[in-house]
Amino acid sequence: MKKLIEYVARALAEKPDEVVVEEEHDGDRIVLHLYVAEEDKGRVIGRDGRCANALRSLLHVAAVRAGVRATLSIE
Amino acid sequence: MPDRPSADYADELDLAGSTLRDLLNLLGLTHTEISARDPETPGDGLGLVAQVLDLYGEDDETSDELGLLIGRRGETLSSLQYLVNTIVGRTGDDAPVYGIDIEGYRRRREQTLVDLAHEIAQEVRETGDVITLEPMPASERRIVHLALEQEPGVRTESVGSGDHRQVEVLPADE
Repeated sequence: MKKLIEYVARALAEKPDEVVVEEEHDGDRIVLHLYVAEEDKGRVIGRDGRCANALRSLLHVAAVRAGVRATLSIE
Repeated sequence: MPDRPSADYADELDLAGSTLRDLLNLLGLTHTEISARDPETPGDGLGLVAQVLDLYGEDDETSDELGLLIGRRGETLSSLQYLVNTIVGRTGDDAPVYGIDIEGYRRRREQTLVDLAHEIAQEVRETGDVITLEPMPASERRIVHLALEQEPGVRTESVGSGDHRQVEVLPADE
């Protein structure tokens, strides 16, 4: 799941080297914290949050396949 | 696997296909086949997309698993298509747009919508009532509008906003 988020964020970012994803385990839930360069925030969130929502729906697929609950937090 | 798409693709179709492949691999859906074809119908996005990337499972188990990637009412499929196009779109302002279909979902959905549109048109002609369909995404509303474009005695309109936008089928003279 971490790799999935990293892949998409790097593909969208102007500064892919500054993309960092941290995994936080909170009981049976995984929170993925996505950090990008300040100027890339808009790119990964997208207009009206469309990119972020699309990324969350792919994360949902990955989480269901892994049998866990996962949420994405864009920091 | 590369950790992001590399920049030296021969063309955008390769980039779209390889981005889709990378995403599938990252989701553990490796037993899948991608093939590109020309769009043929409104449901394919004819007039809107350059190519359709058809995605199928290589075995029954994978085909079942792909249902999750279609999602409720094709919403996850739309997300996947949006992300692939956003990534390809970064190559330039005039980058082509690609459609994605999974296990023929869009094809079947289009047939359902076209059949529904004709039934509703018949009902509107018989009763003179205005019938409002359930909310649908833009791509599906377009299918209904185009299906009834040449239909005698009725016309269509979209009403409402955002996720609640719906197609209305009205008597032609109303």
